[in-house]
Amino acid sequence: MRDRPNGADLLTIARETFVREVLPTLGADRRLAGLMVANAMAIVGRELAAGEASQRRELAALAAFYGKTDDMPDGETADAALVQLNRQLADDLRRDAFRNEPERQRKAYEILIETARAKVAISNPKYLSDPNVAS
Amino acid sequence: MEVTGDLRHDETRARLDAWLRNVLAAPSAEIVRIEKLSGGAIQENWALDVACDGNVRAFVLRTDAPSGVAASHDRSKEFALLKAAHAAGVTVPEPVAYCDDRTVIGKPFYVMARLKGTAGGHILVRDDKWRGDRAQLAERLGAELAKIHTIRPPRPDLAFLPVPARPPAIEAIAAYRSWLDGYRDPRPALEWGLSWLERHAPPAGELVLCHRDFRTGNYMVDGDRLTGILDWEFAGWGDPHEDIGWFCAKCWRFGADAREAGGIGSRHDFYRGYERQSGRRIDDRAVRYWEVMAHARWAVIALQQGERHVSGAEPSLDLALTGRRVAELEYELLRMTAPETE
Repeated sequence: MRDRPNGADLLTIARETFVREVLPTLGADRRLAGLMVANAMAIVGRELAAGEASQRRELAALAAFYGKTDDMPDGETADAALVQLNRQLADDLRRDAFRNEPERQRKAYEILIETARAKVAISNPKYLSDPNVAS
Repeated sequence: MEVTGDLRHDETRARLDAWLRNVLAAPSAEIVRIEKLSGGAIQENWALDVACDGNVRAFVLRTDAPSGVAASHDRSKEFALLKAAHAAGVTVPEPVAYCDDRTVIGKPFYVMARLKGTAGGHILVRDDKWRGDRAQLAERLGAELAKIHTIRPPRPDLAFLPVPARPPAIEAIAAYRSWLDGYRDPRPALEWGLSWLERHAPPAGELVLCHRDFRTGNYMVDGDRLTGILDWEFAGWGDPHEDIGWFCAKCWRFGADAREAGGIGSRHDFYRGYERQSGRRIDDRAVRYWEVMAHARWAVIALQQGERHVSGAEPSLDLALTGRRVAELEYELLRMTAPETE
């Protein structure tokens, strides 16, 4: 059992304090560094809140794509499986393996864009809410 | 001899004074102020104020950062490119001299005039900061790019630039794939984009000098006046549409997406400036292709910059955050290459 406040709680209040009390006091030469610190803390906060859900979705989608759905791995094995399936997809895409299989091509694309969208939701969610970016 | 990397060191400064006296052919030259400039993930830039013949002249000294991106030129080549651009009438900081002698500051460097103004992309695109005429700036930048593209092979002074054996787009795709082969993790989204780019690659056309980093953030503006095009380290022979696409690509608009020319002006104004100067029409379809390539290329560079942090070679929050920008670049690359658009 972890003590409260947990890491995510501490990060949230640390970032709030930094943005409210420290960032406004920084001179022009340190402001960019301050903004980068606040941005990095926000990314970590979103990454902690999201947990492993999107990695699990990515793994399930890739495993289904390659017909490897029986006994889905967990933990570190899941990480290794995710790298291995992404490697296979990268290799297939490199040699344009689905060029004459539009359905498979479309399915691969859906997996890629869903994975990319989930990553952007963590690294820069404003990008997804941009009115110029249709979902 | 002990050579320190810190130019503020007294002995280094004295050697630099002597070198400046020599290249400026001045009886006296003395650095009266020296300051490291921020930015420059690949190079170190130092501002020098030099008292010389009763005047104080403003220079920038440019040298290598601790680790660089694989594709960038060394300082001697960058200096040759700057000289070629200056001679072609491109607005650039006036080149002063290159120094290969490592006993001066410990590594090669060159000196050029220091320009007035700001290059900050976020400042230039923000409405509340900008005081000049955006249409005029966009048009002027188009004309500057057209002047760069008047530099064509063969050029003995630029003989170090490889002449591509295949169409430039195919060369670029091969280079990014080769880099990805050595990268720790698979990047299927990038592979998707590169295969799309391979299927749609334009044939070889005329070769011109491409700046290869001609974008908002790499030119200086003072008030409402363009003072110079910076950062020549990636230049090479290529397809002129590559530079136009890089300038217009969404990833270089600093959030001002409605202003398609670098976040500062309309595509129309930028194209007009280019077309008037060059006397030739821009192939808009080719530009759109190179905008897709721009996202693939920036994604690869962002991976490389992130890797400089991750590998421990150069721990830096800036580099680390650039590494996390790869996701949005891949996302945009995918959006531009959806299966329906085939």
